[in-house]
Amino acid sequence: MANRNFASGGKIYSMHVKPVLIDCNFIVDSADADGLGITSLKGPMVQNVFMNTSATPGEGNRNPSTPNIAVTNPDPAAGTIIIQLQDRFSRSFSGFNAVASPNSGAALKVDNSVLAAGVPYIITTLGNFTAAQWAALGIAPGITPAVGLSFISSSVGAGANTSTSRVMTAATAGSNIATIETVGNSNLSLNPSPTATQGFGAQIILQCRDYTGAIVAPATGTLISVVMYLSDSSITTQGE
Amino acid sequence: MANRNFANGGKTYAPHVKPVLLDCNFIVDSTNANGLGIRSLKGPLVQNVFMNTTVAAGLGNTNPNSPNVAVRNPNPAPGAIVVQFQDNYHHYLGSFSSVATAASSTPLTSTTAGTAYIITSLGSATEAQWQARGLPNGITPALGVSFVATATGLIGGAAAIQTTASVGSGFMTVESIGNPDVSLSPNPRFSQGFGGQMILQTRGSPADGTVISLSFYLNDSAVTVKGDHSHG
Repeated sequence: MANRNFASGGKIYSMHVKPVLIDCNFIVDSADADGLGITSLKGPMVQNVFMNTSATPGEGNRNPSTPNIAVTNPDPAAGTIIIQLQDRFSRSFSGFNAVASPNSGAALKVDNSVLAAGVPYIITTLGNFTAAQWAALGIAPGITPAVGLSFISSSVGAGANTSTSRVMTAATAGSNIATIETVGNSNLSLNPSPTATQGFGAQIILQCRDYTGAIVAPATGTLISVVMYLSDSSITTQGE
Repeated sequence: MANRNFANGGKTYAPHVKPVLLDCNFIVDSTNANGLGIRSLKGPLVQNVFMNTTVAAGLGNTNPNSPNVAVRNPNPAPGAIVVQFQDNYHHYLGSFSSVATAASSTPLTSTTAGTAYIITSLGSATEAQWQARGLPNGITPALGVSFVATATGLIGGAAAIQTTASVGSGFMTVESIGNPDVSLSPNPRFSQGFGGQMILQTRGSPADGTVISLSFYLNDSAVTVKGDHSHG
C-alpha cells in the first residue's frame, strides 16, 4: 500500500464540527430474485439501497438497533434510488457519485484478431490464456489477470482462435444515465424519530436522469458509487 | 445521531500540508428580488454565490475583514456561477457537486405507487394519512420531504405533492472556467471585498428552484510536496 507519511497528517480541515463521509456502491439489477433492484451492496453504515425491481420486492437488511423490524423494498419507479443508512444524521452538506459502465454483453475472443489496439476491454472469462499471453495483449506487468479487470489492448489479439478466454467492451450506451439528482430536501429525512419503528436511520431518495434530463433506469450491471457528505453534529457554525 | 466510534479516528489522509474542504449550497432563483440570482446560501467561509438575475443586480455579503466594501453581483450570463470565499487559498485541488431537482410546479393531491414525490402543501392531512401513502414512520411530514409512494390514491386533507421537474435540474455538469489557482489569492490591498474567487459554468441552464451543493477541495498552505504542480 501507499504507506506514505502523508503531509496532511490525516487531517482535512473544514468548518463543520463532525463531518462524515459515507460511501456505498452497488450493482443495478432490476431482475435479481432478491427483489431489491440491486446486488452486491457494499458500504459501512449503509443499511439498504433499493431500486425498481421486476421481481417480488424483497426484504432488505435490518437495522442493528431494531433487528425485529423488517424493511421491504418499496419498489420505487424505474430510475429511483432509495438509500437507507443505519444511523441518523443532522444535515446533508453535499454528495458525489461515480458510475462504472456495464459490460456490452458480447463476449469477444482474444486470439482471432477481433480486438482493436488502444480500446479498453474487460476480462469476462479468464479461460486458458496464460499470464504471459494476457501481458502480451496489454495487461501491465504486476497486474494479475482476473474477471472484471480492465486493460487497454495493445494489439488486435491475433492467434490460433482456440482460446477459451473472453473479453468485452463496455456497453455502447454506457450506464444510460448522465446525472443523479436528489429528490426533495434530504435534510428532512435524515433524522427520523427512532420511536416510530421505521427500521432504518436516515433516508435519501435520488433519481437517475439521462442526457435529456428525463428520469431513466440505469442499465442492469451498472455499478453506482454514491458518497454522502453529512453532519453528525447538530452544532452549526457561522454561515451554516 | 450516529454517535459512532468512527474507524478512521476523524482522519482522512492527503498528501497536502493543509487541505481544506469547503462546501455550500443554495437555491437557483433568477427572479429573486435580492438580485443575487440565488437564495438561501449556506456554507461556512463562503461569502457569496452570484448567478444570473433578471432584476437589478444586488449586493452580496461583505467580507468580515472589509465590512465597508460592498460586493455586488456582476450578473453573470445564465449558467455561470461566481463563488467568493471569505479567505484566500493557495491552490485548487478539486471539487464536486450535487444537485436536488426542483419540484414540477404541478400540485397533485393523489399518489401513484412507486413514484417519488415532494410534499409541497401539508394541508390538514394527518401523519397517519401521509404514512398511508408511503411516508416512512418517524419522518415528520414537512414541506420538502420526499417519499416514495407505496399506495395509489388520494392523500386527503387538501394536502399537495409534486413530482420532480420532468427535465430535472436542466444541466448535466458544473465545470470550472479558467485556472482557479490564479483567482484564489487576490491581493487584499486592492479592496475587492472578498477572498478567493472561482467561476463555474453549468452545462445547461439550471432551473429556478434547483438546489446546488458545491464542495471545494483547496490548499491553505503554500508548502508544496513532491508531485504538486500549479494548474495551468
